[in-house]
Amino acid sequence: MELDHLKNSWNIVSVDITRNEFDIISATKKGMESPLAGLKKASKKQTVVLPVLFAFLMVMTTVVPEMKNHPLIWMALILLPLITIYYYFNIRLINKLENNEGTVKNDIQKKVKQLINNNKLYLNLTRAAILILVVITELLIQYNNMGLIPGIEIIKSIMLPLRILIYAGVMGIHYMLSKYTFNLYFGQYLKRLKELLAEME
Amino acid sequence: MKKTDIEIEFETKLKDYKLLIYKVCRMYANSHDDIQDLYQDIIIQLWKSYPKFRGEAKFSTWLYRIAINTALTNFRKQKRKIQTSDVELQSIQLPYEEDVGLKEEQHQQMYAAIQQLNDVEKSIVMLYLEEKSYDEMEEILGITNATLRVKMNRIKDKLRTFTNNK
Repeated sequence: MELDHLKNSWNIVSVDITRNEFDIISATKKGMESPLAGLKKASKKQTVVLPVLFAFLMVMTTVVPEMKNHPLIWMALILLPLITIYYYFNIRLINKLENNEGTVKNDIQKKVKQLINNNKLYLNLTRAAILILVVITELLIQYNNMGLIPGIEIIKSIMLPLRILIYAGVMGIHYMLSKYTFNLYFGQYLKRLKELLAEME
Repeated sequence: MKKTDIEIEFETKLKDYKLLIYKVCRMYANSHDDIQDLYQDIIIQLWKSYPKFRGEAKFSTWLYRIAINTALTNFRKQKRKIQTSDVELQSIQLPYEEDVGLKEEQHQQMYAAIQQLNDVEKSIVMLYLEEKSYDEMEEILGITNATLRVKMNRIKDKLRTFTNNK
């Protein structure tokens, strides 16, 4: 049997599309359930929770000045904005991915590009933030402003070559973590899009 | 709840294309529940994209693009499909057979063969069955006319092999 023989039967579809389950407005009211919807919801939640936590810590360090001496608090104050930026980037990316424009192939190509570029941008921005932090730490050590960041004396006591090694380690861990989280959230999706593009060639 | 103007406009425009969306779903989903879910996902995606529809392409072309795009990139369904065993894939039945009204064994074999194609090939077959020209297919899928012709020949060969092996 040839494909052409199927044309007639293909066009004879007698399904009752007036049934409720095929109602247009009830579907639009259902709410988005795209594969990325769950991630978007979680990211939105984080962009609210994390700044609140950051503000809470800031207030607490003002109310209880001793908290300023705790290295963990400083670490949290540095990490929380970085993680918030990460979730903000996720939302921005998902919003772009949920749009459909142009032909199917062009749209998929655009999404692949967006996923890769967005990941690069996030990686570079956070990498720059870490580098700035490293430079500030070194400057503080050089100019003996030890009181500004608690725990900096510990860093100073480490020899410079070892310090550089630690900084490189931090950058490495950051790269690995970024790669891991990207794959965790978008890896399967990107793989699927690339497979589709390959099928289109 | 009172419908907004844009909802009414959208619903009116879409009324004539419900069957078309159903056919896209029938191509990519196997069970009644999956067809229903995909149908709703496509409607939601169309609804979200509707404010950006500027009439640069025909409404049906725009609709095909979004419907096929949603079906192709719909990860949730994809996951479900991965869970389907090879044995099940070999013996795929016509979705909602009694509704579609296709009883012939040959038709069933052809549909089962189509199910063995990859998702992009399925979209080409669907547009072919919808009697779209290669130019229209290019406008929807973004695959060049020449590539589409080559692919179509390959698909026909594949389907012949699949149905002859039955």
